[in-house]
Amino acid sequence: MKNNLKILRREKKLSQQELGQRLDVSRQTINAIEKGKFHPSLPLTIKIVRFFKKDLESIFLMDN
Amino acid sequence: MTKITHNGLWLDFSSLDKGDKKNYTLSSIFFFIAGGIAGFVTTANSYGDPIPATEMTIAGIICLLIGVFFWIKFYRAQDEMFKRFHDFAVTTGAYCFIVLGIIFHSLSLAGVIAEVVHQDVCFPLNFLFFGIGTLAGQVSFYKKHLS
Repeated sequence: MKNNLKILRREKKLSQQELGQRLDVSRQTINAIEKGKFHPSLPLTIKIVRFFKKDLESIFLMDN
Repeated sequence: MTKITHNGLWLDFSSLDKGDKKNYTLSSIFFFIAGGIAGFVTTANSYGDPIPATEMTIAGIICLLIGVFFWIKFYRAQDEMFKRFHDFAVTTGAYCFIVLGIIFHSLSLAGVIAEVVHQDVCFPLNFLFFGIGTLAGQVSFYKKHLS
């Protein structure tokens, strides 16, 4: 699964640390999600979607 | 939130907030005391002394339970990355405990080691397997998700 988190974060001019603080997770977690090395849980996914005010599938993209 | 460092073998204490620092420190202190007491009781047993039974043993168990209490408080305050890291490491430790434990005991290797060191090594050996598995799990998770 890929995602546009890095692009969206940069659009909002936030650092990984700042986004992590807004979402109540660590900078490492944001970094791992952006790199596609870690898939967030459903509650965190909902937090991300609500924070960026986007559709789920405009942030997270299934490979197939 | 906790920053995991050193290939998953350490955490950056300065990354913890005030409450996390308190819980982490207290759990570590109580685990350390419980470990010391367990070591004292085990050593006393291996030298054939009577078990300095109840008081020491009960004190050790109480310290262990207090350590667990503070560790759970610490764990609950962490984000999902740390929780998955923790759960993966502990699960790997449990697999190691079972698989290596079964192999060692089926081949009676524990008995061979016991004859060399002149004391029963069943529990310490299984505990060692758990520790090895946990460390392997920590490194493996770090390499896969955090490096």
